[in-house]
Amino acid sequence: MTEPTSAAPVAESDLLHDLAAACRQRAAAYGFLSRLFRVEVDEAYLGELEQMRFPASTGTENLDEGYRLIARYLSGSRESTVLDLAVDYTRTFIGNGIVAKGLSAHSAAYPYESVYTSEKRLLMQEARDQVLAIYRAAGLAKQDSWHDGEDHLALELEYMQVMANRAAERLEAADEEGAVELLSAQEEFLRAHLTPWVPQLAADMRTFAKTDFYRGLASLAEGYLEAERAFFDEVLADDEDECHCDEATEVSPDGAGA
Amino acid sequence: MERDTSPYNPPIEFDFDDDFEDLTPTENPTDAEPVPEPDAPPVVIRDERTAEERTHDLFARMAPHRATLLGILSLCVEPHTASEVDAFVDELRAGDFSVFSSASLCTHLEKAGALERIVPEGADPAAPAEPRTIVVDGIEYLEAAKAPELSWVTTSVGKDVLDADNPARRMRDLFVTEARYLPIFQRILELCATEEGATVPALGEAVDDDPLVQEPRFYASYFVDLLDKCGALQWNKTWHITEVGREGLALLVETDQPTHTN
Repeated sequence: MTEPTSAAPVAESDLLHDLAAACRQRAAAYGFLSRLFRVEVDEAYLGELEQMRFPASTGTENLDEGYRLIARYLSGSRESTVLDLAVDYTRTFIGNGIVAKGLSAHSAAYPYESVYTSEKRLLMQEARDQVLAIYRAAGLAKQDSWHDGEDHLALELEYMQVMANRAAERLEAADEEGAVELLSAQEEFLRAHLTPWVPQLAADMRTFAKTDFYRGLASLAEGYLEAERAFFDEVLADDEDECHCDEATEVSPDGAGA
Repeated sequence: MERDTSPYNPPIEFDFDDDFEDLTPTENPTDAEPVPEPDAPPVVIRDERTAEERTHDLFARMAPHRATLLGILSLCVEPHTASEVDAFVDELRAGDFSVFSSASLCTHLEKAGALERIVPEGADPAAPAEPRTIVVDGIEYLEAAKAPELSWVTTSVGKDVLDADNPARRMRDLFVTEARYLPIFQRILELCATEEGATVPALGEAVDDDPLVQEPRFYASYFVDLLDKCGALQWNKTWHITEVGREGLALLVETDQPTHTN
């Protein structure tokens, strides 16, 4: 009679737990990014940002640069910071209507997928319809208070946040198959609706932004998608029924919340 | 008048102006500046005006905020921290919303040269603040370093503005230049001298039908604005008379102007 091998099941549950924790961290990071793209930083959120701890070394150059720029900007925070950031948010994402020479009729880094993936850089194009269908399939809809297109980067990032949290729930319930399904959906969304255009948006942000805060956000967004690419490459094997649940990286700021 | 129900057809309704044929297209349809390189140093635009000129222009441009700007300069004759100035401005403007925060106004005054910031001893204003590196559970993190609280102090230019400010004289000048409307000014000041002050509708009711203001047509708000700029009135949910306003009212009563011409 052999002794019961209880070590293997315990190890597997630990792996699922670790991956669930990683997914919660990913959700927090997506929520953090979404918030910064959605609206300007107000007094209350500035107070939260000043209390956050940002990872100093994530292994992804763009992420490290982004966190460093944002942390440095916050270290120079003064009484006019909220106003300065509001002005730079408008300058970066809305513009002033003046078309700059050399850029095909745009004066800001408009954070809409349609603008970057449609031929004429218009809003509400095919990309918007596609993500709208994806949100609906996931049982999600924009709130009535949101008056912009569904392909705004803030909403796309929030979608990833929701899905990451759902994956964490499945993992916490030891539903590996359900978690793989959700992670695969996220990987597909990343590949089809984020990585094709966010790097170009980031480049435009670096052109238009004047503060290190929004220049840092550009690097952060680009770097986080790179980190996500690496995460899915590690976690999702070629066989979609398998999940390499022993890989987990933490790259979200401490205190970012959901 | 009968309503025209025919369908609107813009191409038929408009004739193209032949003058447009003479226009030659410009070589560069947009005159906007080229997009700067991301790492290029910022272009510095120098303001050639003196501090006195900049301050004068600031007060002219921000006339509705004159009292607050003067209040800040008066407070900061002795150095005060930014949070003390915030609290002072909040109290000064209680009940009066403004899109300009205390910090914003101080920055405007600083750029004009009427206010300057005091850097804490040992701090280098030119050196950018760097975040702190801390280690938690073996992992390195960056934390925003808390910036030292700065203080504001009024410059000599700002003090000159304070010394030159004479609201009582401005009000006396107003009574001379607008002598025709002295009964209106007196009526408004009397209504605002009560403890609860005067609401905008109440002032309108008292002034708008007066024969004095029918030609040219003026409304109560015009006179309230003139008195406000002299420092004779202050808004705090209703219009209230100030000490300057009381002086002015006493002056008007002394001259025994009739208060009602209905």
